[in-house]
Amino acid sequence: QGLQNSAEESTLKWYKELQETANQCGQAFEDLNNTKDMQTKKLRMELQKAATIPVSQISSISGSQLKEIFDKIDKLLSGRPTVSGGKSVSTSHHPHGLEYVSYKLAEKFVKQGEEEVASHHEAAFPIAVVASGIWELHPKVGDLILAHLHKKCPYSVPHYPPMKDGTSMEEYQRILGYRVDESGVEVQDSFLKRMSGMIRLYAAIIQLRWPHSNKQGPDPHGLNHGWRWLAQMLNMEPLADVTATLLFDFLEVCGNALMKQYQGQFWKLLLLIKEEYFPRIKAVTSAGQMGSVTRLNQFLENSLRKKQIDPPKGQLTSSFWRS
Amino acid sequence: KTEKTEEDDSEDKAAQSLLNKLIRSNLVNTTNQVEVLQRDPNSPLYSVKSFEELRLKPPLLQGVYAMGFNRPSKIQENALPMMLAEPPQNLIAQSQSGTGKTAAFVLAMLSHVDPNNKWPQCLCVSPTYELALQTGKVIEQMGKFYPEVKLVYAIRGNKLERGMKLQEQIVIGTPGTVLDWCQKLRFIDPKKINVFVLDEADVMIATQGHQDQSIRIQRMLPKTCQMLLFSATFEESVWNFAKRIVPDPNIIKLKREEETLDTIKQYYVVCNSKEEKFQALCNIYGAITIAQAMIFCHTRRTAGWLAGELSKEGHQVALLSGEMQVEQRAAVIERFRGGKEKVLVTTNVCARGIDVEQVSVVINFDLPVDKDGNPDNETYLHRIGRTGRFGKRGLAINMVDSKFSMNVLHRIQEHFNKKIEKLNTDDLDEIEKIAN
Amino acid sequence: AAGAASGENLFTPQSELTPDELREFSAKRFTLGQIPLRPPPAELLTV
Ligand SMILES: Nc1ncnc2c1ncn2[C@@H]1O[C@H](COP(=O)(O)OP(=O)(O)O)[C@@H](O)[C@H]1O
Repeated sequence: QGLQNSAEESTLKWYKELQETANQCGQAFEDLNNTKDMQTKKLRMELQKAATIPVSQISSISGSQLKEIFDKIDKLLSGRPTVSGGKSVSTSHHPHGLEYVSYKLAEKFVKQGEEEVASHHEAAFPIAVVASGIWELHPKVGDLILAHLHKKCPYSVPHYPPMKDGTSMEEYQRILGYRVDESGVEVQDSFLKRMSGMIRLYAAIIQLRWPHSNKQGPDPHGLNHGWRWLAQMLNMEPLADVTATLLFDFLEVCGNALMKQYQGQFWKLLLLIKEEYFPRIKAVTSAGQMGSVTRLNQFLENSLRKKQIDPPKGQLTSSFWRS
Repeated sequence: KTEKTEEDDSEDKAAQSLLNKLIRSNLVNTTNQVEVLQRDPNSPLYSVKSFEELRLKPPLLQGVYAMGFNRPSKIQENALPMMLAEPPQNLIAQSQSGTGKTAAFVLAMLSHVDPNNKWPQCLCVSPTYELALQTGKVIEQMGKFYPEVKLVYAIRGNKLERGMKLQEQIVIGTPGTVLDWCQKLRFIDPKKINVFVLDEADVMIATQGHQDQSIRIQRMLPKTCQMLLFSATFEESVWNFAKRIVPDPNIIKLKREEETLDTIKQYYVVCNSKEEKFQALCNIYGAITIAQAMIFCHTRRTAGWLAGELSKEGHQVALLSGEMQVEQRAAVIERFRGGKEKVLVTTNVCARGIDVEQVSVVINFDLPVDKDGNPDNETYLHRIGRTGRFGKRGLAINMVDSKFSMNVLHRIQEHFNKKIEKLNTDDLDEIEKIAN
Repeated sequence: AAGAASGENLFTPQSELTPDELREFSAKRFTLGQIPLRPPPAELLTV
């Protein structure tokens, strides 16, 4: 018994169910998507704008601005009319309006992670806190966020899709998360950067809760998933470059929260990484890939020495929420 | 219109260089080959593909990786082995900004310092205070795990007590102050300097007096001191200056890659008024994910109006306008870089020279024209063109609102012989398609 | 559907753990490749 080559059955089942949920949702609004009717097309456009523009406006500028954005999205998902670009729009204007908006919104959160968090790590927090709040009130959107995230970044499951017979190399690279176009496959650094962005967004989501929520229930997707993700990663054979990069990203963002939550058990995880898993990573690393490995090692040594993990940079503070 | 004075010009250069540094978060990709001219053509040419091969002091290697670097940039592959060689070699290096020169010479300085010696050993001169500060930040980051090495800024305003001797190993500053500190005030003993760096040589020589001061500093240094000079461009004047500063140099050149429109998808949108243009812009925003966008307007008024409209819609907008001082512009760009604002609206004039390589979408709210109303092809290319085939894919959208601007568009299209496709911003599918 | 893999609790009730999981959580160290995917029980945070 040792490390596995793929994720456990339960993980894969969960992953497949979510993909199925997303597919069904996509099918539900197919008529809206393929409509030729100009009027319906217009409506679709307004719905999409109402869902995606607020997400693109999320920034760390102030707590009150985030609240406004949150309220706008919540209103839309609750079927109430919202105003965007001077026009009023509501999901009640189409039988599948709600499904459409939920799908587009989820997709947008993930894209924002891929594009923005990738080049600007601290952006993960304001995006994640809004996503988490929406997830709490509208769990369907949460499932869709997961499904989109898993599709664009299988490591967020984590899942290492095997190459199936009959899949072309190009198609397989796409499944692994690479961008492939006429000019070829994207370079490794650019790929890693996007994957980092999405993992950082995920790591921020599982530790954050919308501060204005009045629900007393459990976090819709909380730190237990942080445990699950780490455990699942560490039970699998490491991949060169990818594993070190993403473990570091994940731990830097939610290591502090996990440490507080799981205490001794979390330190057992870190110790296992340092003493047994890290050598396995090193064994698959070549000289040109030492950057990610060194960053991870530095993080582990630092944490174990200080018996402490620093809170992540860019975390939203209580004074932020008063602004 | 008043003629620009030479002074304005040098200020412009320094300002542009600074703004470009601030807006950049990444290495610029280039595919051009590095050209290396060795002082001794018979000695073997080393180039490294990984930082491991450089046998750096462990805290420095950590510092490099902690900055997020994975492997040496194109120019670093050749420059680093030369700069770190024993005995140290002199180097003149030229490559466009963003290719990793600063990181390279900072690593060289940090490597050559003996932290046990409490006196200045490396001297780095920069054209302006702000640029010196940027380099200082890199030294601090890279030296994060090497706290024994200390840094001091030799800039006007940093007044030291007479008669004191500096303990810091690295001094970075502007030529005038550095010269004073070496000569008049004797805070620094120039004879003990073993690395001398002259950064942004092209900006340096554009400023009256800097050239002279730099040469006077260089004359005070020992023969054994390693001399390094960096420049983004290489005109004859820079070259002449470089040869006076750096004896027996190795030379590394990375040709600036031609900007091309090859990796850019270009579109135009037909509108009837600026209000319609604004509407089109909103539609685009709804359909594609734009991490950061830069929008160019012809006049300050339009820029101000557009920024206002976008804010009303809830967008976080930064406005860069011509009457701003360099510091103000720098502050705006830093906020934009930091993601506080996601849209940067600016006028054509004001953003001249800024590299938009980082920005995912460029929108010409007005097409660039010169004062006679002719298409300004050069500006168009600089604004949306990208370098490097493997560089980021870019997207450029041009707004057209009259016969006149349609004509400008046609002429731009003809000039570059690259089709600019029409985009219907009322059709969501169409907009979504262009982003994929 | 989303919670299927691990339930929605921050901790796993000790009574629900399998013997293998309990062994891993009670031990001083985890066994490589055998880390339980479900979070630890609240009673076993100090080891
Ligand atoms: N080897 C490298 N790998 C990744 N990023 C790098 C590398 N070298 C430099 N950079 C980054 O690229 C950007 C430009 O580098 P810089 O040294 O400032 O270039 P220049 O001095 O030529 O303008 C900076 O953000 C810097 O941190």
